[in-house]
Amino acid sequence: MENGKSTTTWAGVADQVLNTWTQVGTQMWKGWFDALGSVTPTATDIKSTVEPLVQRIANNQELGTRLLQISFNAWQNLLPKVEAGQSWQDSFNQYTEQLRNQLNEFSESSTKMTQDTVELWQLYLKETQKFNQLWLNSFTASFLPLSQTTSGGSAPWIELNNLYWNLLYEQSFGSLMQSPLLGPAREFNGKLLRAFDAWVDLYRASIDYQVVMTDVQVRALEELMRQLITKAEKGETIKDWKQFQQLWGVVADDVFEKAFCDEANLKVRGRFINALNTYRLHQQALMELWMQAVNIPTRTELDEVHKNFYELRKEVKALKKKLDAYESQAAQSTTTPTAATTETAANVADLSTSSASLETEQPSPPESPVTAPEAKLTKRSPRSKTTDQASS
Amino acid sequence: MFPFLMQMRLEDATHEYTELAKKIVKGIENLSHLREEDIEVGATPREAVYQEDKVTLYHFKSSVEKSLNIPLLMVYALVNRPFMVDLQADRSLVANLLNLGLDIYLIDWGYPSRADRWLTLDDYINGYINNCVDYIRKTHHLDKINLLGICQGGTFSLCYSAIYPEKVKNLVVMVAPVDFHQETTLLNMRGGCTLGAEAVDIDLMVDSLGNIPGDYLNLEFLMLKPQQLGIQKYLDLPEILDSEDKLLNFLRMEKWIFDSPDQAGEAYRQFLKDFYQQNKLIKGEVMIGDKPVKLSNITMPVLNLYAEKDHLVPPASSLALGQYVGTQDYTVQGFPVGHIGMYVSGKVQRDLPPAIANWLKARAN
Repeated sequence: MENGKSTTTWAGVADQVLNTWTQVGTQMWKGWFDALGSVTPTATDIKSTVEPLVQRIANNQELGTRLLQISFNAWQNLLPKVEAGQSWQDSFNQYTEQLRNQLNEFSESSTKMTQDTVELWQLYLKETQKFNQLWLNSFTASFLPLSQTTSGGSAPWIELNNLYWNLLYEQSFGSLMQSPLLGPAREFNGKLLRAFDAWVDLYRASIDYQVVMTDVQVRALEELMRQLITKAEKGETIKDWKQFQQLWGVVADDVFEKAFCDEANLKVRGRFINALNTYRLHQQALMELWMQAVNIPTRTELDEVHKNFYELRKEVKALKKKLDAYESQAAQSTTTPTAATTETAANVADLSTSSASLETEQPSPPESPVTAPEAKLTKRSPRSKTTDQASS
Repeated sequence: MFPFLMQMRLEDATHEYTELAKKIVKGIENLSHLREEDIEVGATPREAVYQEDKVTLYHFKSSVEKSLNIPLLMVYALVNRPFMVDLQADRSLVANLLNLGLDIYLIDWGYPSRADRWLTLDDYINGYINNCVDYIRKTHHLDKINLLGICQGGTFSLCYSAIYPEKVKNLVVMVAPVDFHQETTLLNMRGGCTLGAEAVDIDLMVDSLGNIPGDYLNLEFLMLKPQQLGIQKYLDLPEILDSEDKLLNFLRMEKWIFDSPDQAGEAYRQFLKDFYQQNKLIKGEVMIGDKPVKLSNITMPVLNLYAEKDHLVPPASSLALGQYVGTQDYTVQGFPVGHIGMYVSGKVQRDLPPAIANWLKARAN
């Protein structure tokens, strides 16, 4: 068998198979749910139930197929070499390099976007001279991380990305946004600039996170190939596409899990999530400015109302428990029923006049064996009754 | 020879798709007469007996004579709906326990809305759980009842039993996290068990989101095994389309997984910070409202059930309980399944209910 020729042939066949599989698979899902919608008029119920599922499949399929396809291509080239006892390491490296190149392209393009963003602010703030100087600085400083990228891994790319941000954004325009502002529009401009600052931070953090995710994919491919080769060398061949796919799923998840149990990667992910939440807060602050201007209740105001309701509700529940305890005590008092009734009435009066006294009251009377609120299945909360009693 | 590639010829793929197409046609037929109510979870008849805010206490109906007079209250997690314990007639922990003569109550936490974002763990544990326990005690004229806490509900039950030992006769916890410092478990690492706010700043998250969306939690759980849970199982789905029973099982599980209530913000804040990030439970530093939680106060008999392949609550996390509880009657039992397998595995459903029932009956006096 001529390896080159047969490999080409196999590559062609396998590509066709894979393409057929993915295309038919996609069409199958689409056709299935399209057909489902037209089966019966009442099928809409089911369609609405399962539509999110279809969407998930569609989204995941695109992501998953990419790595799966590269994995499959790599394996179809490697297996003949492994079985023929030839060196497969070069081909293996070639595929991991291919994925790493994708990672590099991604990072380079994100850096370019960074430059564009900074340039916008450069024009806006007319800081051309300072900007050009920083460009030169960043270019010089980038040599070290660039030289490290050839050794693999995501750390140099993250460092490079952060370097550009720090030099091009933080030192020039980012620092300006921390400065006190002036004039009648001071508050608005402050919120606007801080929101932009948070967006920039989110953008940077998301790039770092994507770099890590891409690196995880490369490592997943490497591990899959390693396991396939080990199996092949032991004579344990993969029998069919489904088995290949299942092994890929287990291996990829295992690599993913290990990668994100690593604190360095977790910190990158943490910066992304925290930046996302920070940006959301700034975005809300801006939104609330506009809502106030047009007399619409804001999120903050509604939260305040909800909090007041919550605290009142909690207070009423506590009052009711106290009241139940006193009533229970009074009911159990058989020796001096008149005195007990008088005491209970006095306690009720105390409770109704000072809710604050709850916190500073003397220790409660002993809790009766069972002090559950007399809750029943009713739309009207038992606390309403308590409120009436306490205030009457 | 290239056995795998040999089998991947176009004609083979075509044949495979032909077979698949047959299953899909049958699947469409199956789906066309299925309705949402066909995949309702919670199969066992039940009655709502107590309600407070959005929380409902259910009492399950049984046709079997009760052989244990002390009722069992099930406390499920705030995450996902509690009806995983009663997913369908032939996969129901509740039904199996009822058939063994137990009297069962279950707390349904409901769906917190934005108005509930201020609810704290104090409200859940000293409030809702305590009120449900008191309701059952009052109804049955008992000082103490049995408690079964599951997953996060197990952690809540531990807190409750430590605060109110006088109200708990026997405590069963199932796949309950206790020691949250688990450096090889992705869920704990992501939660910040070693990095704290650097992994995720919970204060920032709750301040930003208010309640934590159920969809966010779904994504977090899927991302523990993104390929297998997000892709693989859907690629395998066509294989079962022609079987109505299997399809129903799949759809019910899908419904349960993605029917995920939002988490009340303040309760989430405390749970993540105190338990996941600072591991205060085993340090004896947790405060629920103004009440300290000391696991050494748990002096009633304890049965600790765990899943040996659990990727959400690793066995080490559950097993740590033995070091901290004050009871002299402590039993541990593992099952060779994952977290979800505890509810749906046929083998576990055969072995687990008798294990619980027999253990409780032996401690009824």
